[in-house]
Amino acid sequence: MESAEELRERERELVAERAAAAPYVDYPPTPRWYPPFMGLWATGYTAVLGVPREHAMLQALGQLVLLVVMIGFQVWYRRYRGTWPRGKAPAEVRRVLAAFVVGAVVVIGLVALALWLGPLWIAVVVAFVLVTIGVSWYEAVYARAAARTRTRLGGVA
Amino acid sequence: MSHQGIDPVIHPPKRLAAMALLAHAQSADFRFVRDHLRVSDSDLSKQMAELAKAGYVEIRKQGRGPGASTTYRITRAGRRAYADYRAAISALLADPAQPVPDADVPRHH
Repeated sequence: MESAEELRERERELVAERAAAAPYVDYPPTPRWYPPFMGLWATGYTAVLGVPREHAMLQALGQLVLLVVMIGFQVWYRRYRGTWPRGKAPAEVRRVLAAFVVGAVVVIGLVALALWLGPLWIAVVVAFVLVTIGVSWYEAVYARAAARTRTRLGGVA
Repeated sequence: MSHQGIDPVIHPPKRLAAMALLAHAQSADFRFVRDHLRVSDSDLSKQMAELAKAGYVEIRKQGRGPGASTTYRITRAGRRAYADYRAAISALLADPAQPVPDADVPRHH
């Protein structure tokens, strides 16, 4: 049987584990416009990649604008969340992050393939559809993983 | 550092939670930390001031008035102290013969 001291220390461990998970699992609802916004951004990026080489300046300008838009979004989103996680994620979330990386590679590959094989408009449509659906799926799966983590650690799911 | 490697600055539960949170975040704002710790504004300021005094946390304030914001970031020394603290607690749990200092009465150097 554990002593009162050990129980107190185990409770302290749980406090630390809950707090360590918080930057990953405590976050406000993701805005509904986020998946289509990311889809539109990917659409813009694909369109910029499809700009002919003789218009390199236009292409560079387009990439710069998209970069500024993404940085602006990141700054806003960090403020909206109140934090930004780093380091080891809870096990439930780690699996989702790994799936995200695999999914992102697949989507980038498919968009690149569409850009290479077909006309630009098809690649643009493929980018919008895949990214919007992919981000929606990721957000839903992430939210479930975050809820599971909160439940495991004794918080409110 | 106190005997047994238990850092009395980190040991109280609120500060331990703040350190654990900040060790897993690039930074966190006042509202986020306060809501997670479920403490009052003044209590959070007090706890974070203790961590800042020990050099474990950096406090950044931007602006004044209603739009002002306070952000916390763990320092390199804080990250090291937190890792040492975790290792010390794990060692204590592995060896229950060693007494654990009282958490609610922080003892300073």
